[in-house]
Amino acid sequence: MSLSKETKKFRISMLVLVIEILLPFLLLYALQNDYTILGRITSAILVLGIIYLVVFK
Amino acid sequence: MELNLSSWLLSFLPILTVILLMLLFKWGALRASAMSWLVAVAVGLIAFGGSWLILAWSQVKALVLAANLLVIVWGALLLFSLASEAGTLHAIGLFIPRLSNDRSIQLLLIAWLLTSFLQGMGGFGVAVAVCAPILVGMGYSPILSIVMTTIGHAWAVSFGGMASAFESLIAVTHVPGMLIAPYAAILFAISFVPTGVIITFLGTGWKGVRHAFPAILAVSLTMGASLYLLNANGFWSLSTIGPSLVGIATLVLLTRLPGYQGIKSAVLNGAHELKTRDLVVHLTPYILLVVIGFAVTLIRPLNAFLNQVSISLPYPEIVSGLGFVTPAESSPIIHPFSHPGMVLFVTVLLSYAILKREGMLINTSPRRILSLTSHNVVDSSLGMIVMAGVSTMMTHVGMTSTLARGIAETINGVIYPVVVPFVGVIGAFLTGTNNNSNILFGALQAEAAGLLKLNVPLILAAQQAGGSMGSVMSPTKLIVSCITVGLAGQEGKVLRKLIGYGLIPIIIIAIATGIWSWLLGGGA
Repeated sequence: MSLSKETKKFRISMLVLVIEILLPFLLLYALQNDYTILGRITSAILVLGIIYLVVFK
Repeated sequence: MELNLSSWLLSFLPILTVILLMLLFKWGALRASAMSWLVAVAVGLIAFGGSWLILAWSQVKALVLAANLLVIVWGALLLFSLASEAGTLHAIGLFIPRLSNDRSIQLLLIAWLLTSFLQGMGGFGVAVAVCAPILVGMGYSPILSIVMTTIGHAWAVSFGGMASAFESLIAVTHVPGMLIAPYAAILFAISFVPTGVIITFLGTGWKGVRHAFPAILAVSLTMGASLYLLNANGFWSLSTIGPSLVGIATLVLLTRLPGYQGIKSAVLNGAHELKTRDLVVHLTPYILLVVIGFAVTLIRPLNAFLNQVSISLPYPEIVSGLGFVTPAESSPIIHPFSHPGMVLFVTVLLSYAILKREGMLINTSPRRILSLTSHNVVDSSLGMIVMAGVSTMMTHVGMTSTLARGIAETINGVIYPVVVPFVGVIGAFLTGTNNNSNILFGALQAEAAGLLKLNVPLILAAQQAGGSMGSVMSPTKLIVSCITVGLAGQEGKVLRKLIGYGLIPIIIIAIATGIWSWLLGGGA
């Protein structure tokens, strides 16, 4: 069953919202415990979420 | 960071980005805010000694800041969806002509006084979310409806929500509220006539302004007098609800005059006449909102009982690479059970039960209400979180401080009072609330006023006024407003129309502050 364009956009926006809510806490945890790779991945996803908003909203 | 022109311009870049993208390129608020976030993070990391740890802390603080407001927005949107589903907004549209068929009187009642009252009750987003769709139902364009309701309640932000913004100003500046409040009352009262005139002009043209001007003057006088009396006696927590009710009472009395009754037309466009009982049932959500809001706010034992539970998070000291220090602090204290968001959710639950019992909602209604709400909350939540992130990032690397110091240190004592409200506007535009604008700039305004030998309470009153009027134009609030009239993503278009008219009361307040300060011998 294929989803409508509106539903897809809504679900991606919801995913970005979840990312922007959860990842700052994960980034903080990674940086305070010197988990460098986790920190880099987290910050990259955080920024990518914002870039998605700039490009697709 | 050292204060110079380039550091000041870099600090201003995120704000400029939002304004330009929305005004010139007609971007939606969410998209423009996201670009502003990228600019703020890039400038903060590259030029202001920011780090990923600072970014992480600033985003966590932004989430806490946004969460406090998001609960209200979610509640307001849920209430709006419920009211739409039950036909409440349509019923209000049918009821207003009963009071008066005069178009300008209807407009003043809804766009100015009802919005102000609801701002006092529900706070963030509720006023426009309720009133703009009513105006659309009366035949006004969606953009005009948002502009008129936004300008109408701009003054009311200041002392709405238990005057939390004003309390913040007192807390950060340590200047007694009794000294600031009378000045604030007079500055807001000065803006009343222009506000009424702008709304009437936008809705009915100059002819309508000439016709409604005596009513605007009478309402402004009674509202201004009640605002001053409440503020001067320390009752600022009632300084939105009180004057709004006085204004509504004045206008309703004026509708008894033959000149303001308009042409009677009982049934329009085939609409059936509304029985009084049906109207009361339809109005249940808003009657309950007022009753519960009043009870939680004004019944002291109940308020004290609900306030027993409070939440506050500790934050560590944060130092940027260039040595800018954000001291260890706690997040603002949140009382979940007396929070306006909780009032809204309880209102929605009780209203649903009553409206369902009265047959105004059907079994499939909850699904439609939740679907409409969930589609609307995602973008508004993202917008608020992103814009709060811009604000906290700028604060933690010293960009906000650079911005404010630049203004305070380069402008002389005669001009500074005129600039003060606009600093408040910038803070509120950036953060979305009068409260956060006061937290950001309140202490700096007091310090600058002291250094320039100005009247500190007057300057703080002007900061409060600018913050109040700037907050309604912020991208975060526009997202919520636009959703309710089907203009999601078109916030840039609304801002273009809003900014010209919305700045008029602010300019009047700025000029009044300048003249008043000069008369008091400021800057001499």
